[in-house]
Amino acid sequence: MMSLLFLTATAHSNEYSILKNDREGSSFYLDKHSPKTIAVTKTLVKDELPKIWQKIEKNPKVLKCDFTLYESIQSHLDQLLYPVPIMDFVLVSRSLNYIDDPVVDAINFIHQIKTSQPQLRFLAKHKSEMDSSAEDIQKIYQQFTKSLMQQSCASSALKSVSAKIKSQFEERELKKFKFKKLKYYHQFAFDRKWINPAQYTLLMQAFKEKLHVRSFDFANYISHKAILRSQSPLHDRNDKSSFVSKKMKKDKSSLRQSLYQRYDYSQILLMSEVLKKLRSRLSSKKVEIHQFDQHGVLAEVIQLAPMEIYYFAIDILRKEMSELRTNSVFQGKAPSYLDIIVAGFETGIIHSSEIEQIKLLEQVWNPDKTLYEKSEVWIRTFATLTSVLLPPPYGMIPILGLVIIEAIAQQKNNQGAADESIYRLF
Amino acid sequence: MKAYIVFSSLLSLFLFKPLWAFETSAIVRNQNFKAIEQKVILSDISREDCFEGLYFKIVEAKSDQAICLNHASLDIKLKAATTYYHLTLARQFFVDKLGSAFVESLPQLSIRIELTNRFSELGHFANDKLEPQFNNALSVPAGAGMPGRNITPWGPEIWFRPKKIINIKELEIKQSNVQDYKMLLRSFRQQTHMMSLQRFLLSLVNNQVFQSPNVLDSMFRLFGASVMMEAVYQGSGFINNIFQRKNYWLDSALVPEIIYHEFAHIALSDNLELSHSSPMNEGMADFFAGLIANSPKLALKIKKHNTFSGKKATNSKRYIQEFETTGYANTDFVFGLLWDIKQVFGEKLGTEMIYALRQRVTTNSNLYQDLLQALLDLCQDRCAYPSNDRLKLYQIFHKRGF
Repeated sequence: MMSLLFLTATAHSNEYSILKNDREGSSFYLDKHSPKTIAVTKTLVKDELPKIWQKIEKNPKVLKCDFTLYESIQSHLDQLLYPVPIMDFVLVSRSLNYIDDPVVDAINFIHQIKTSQPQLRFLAKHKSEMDSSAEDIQKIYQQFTKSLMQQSCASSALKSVSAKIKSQFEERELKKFKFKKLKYYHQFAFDRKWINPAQYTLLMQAFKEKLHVRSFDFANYISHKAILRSQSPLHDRNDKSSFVSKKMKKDKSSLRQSLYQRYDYSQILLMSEVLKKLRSRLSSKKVEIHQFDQHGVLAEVIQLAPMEIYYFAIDILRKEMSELRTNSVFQGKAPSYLDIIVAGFETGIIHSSEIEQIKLLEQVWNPDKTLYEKSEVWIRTFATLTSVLLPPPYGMIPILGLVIIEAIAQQKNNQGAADESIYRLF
Repeated sequence: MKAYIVFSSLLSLFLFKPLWAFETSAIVRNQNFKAIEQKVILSDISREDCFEGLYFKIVEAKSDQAICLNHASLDIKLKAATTYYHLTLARQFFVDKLGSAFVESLPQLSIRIELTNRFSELGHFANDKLEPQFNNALSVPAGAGMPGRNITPWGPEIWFRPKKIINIKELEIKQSNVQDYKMLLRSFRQQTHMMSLQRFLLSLVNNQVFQSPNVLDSMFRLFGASVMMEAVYQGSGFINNIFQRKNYWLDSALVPEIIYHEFAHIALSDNLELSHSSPMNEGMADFFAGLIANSPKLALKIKKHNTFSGKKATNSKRYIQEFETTGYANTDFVFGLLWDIKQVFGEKLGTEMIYALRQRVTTNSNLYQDLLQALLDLCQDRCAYPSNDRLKLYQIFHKRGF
């Protein structure tokens, strides 16, 4: 309830817009599009942009529903004297920081649903399975049409259909529901006229774009972001980082998007608290260990050396990271160090310029592998095999190669004995 | 105003001696950092045709008279010119680039070349017969002298020892390259013998040795490989002796970076006393020698005058506790660490920080506690983004094995 109140307040506030980009540097969405097209649109709508976004945000519903936001943008663009494609407008808005990447992603996804052209007629399957529970299925679709009539958020209504069908199936059949069956359910409902052609098309478009498996929820994102900004206000709203907005490997989203997809505001706050403590420990002037005797009298004070403070801070960080995993708030999720860094930046605990250095701390417990370490197994196997297969005296050649490589690697590893050192505590 | 200018011109004529400059040969570095003999101009000369200027007086051994151009020895003149020339450059660096008021206020320094006496804190020069010194250089602190014994007070001085060719075996220096090579050979020998033995045992178990003439031939080859390996291993020492350098010498007065290093000791002695060599003051002097030379390499590529390995800031040496001891004072570990800091923080801030470092450490400071703490504190006070820049320092320390 509190978060909703806050949302309304922020939506009407002239000072700060919750849609506005206050953390992300360059956007990977912009990289994908032709800069020429964006530049042309920018010159067209630059002057209109502030007014349009002001008007859009006057409607508090846009912050709770991506469909509403999309339609609101579209209706404002329709009022312009010249045609502006919605995604071009969105990208220009992103380039000028009126919105951030999760908002672009939400609008882009709705755009994909709206413009997708799914196959509407196909051979019906699993009919007997649906016939046996037709009544229950009908209720689900009735609820869906009712929601749309009441102007609830379409994406929630669409998601609700797939979630309900899934849970109903799993309860009834006691086996896992396969989402690819969903289209047969929609066709089943349409054939029985439980939904009209427009609703059927919308359901099939959502199915084609796989809305049922999409983990990002726009309304959740906005509400969590709003709470975070109120709980942990940003000292510098112009401090943006391209590190958090760059596209992750093997993923369609950025680190920041992934953070909001996987964690809620309370988890993000807890993670950033870990980073806050780390920073404080690393900047300590002095760290001491106090030892008390069996009577509770201070017996010894051991002062840590600068590098002992450093390694102590890292050890405690790792301990606190493992404690997060067992924290009930995290529901079994295991936050990585990268998650903690992104959470720390999201809440303004760390400055963008610090991210790189803080990330490098991981090298202490998780150093990058050298080329030799990466290929060690293969080199050894190859050298052993060739030494056996080659007749004497040529068998010596791979052994010589192996010995040289090992000697070089050993020499590099043995430069200093810091790892086995007894001169430091941590 | 006009009267004032006339007055000061007249005053300078009466008070200040005229200054000369002359051209002579000295050892300098070319663009490729190679040491070459080249004509240079020596400036600020206060005694005509002699190596005595406003700031330096180059003397031979215990003499108090400057070496002059009419000196009979070309070698001595070359050394005098080289030291004078590079000391002038080093002084300019500290005065102009670092703004050192201390260096600017230094009186004329006596620079002694070809001096073999040990330094005595009381008597200036130790007895001539007491362990004559060669192949090094040192900076000595000023002394009050002993008027009763006819020992006059002296200012800070730099002493360059003469070179002496010494057989390398007499030095008993652990030659790391040779050790590494021997270790490699030992490991290879072990593995080769082991492989031969395995093959032989395998053939024996399979009873192949006496059945097939081909297998017997293969066994002979195996045996041959082992014998060959053993011959290489046993003969390696002999081969090594043929190719290994036999003699060692260091003509410190002809190596520019050694001259910079020694002057850096004097320039930093406002805070780092010249009492003895320590990893702290040697590392600092190396760093500034590198800066003046504009190179991370010290005393390298100068085989004619230095046959011993020089110093390299780019060596990725990692910290070991022994580096805290005076025995390791002349390794390039601290030089490399400070150079890393300069590389990460940039020429200007890095140099400023390390110059200011002398005020927060002493000659006796240890590396693990005092040096690191001083650098972190300095960064806290001087860095643009202390929390982030301190992390950069921590990263450097971690990479260096602290």
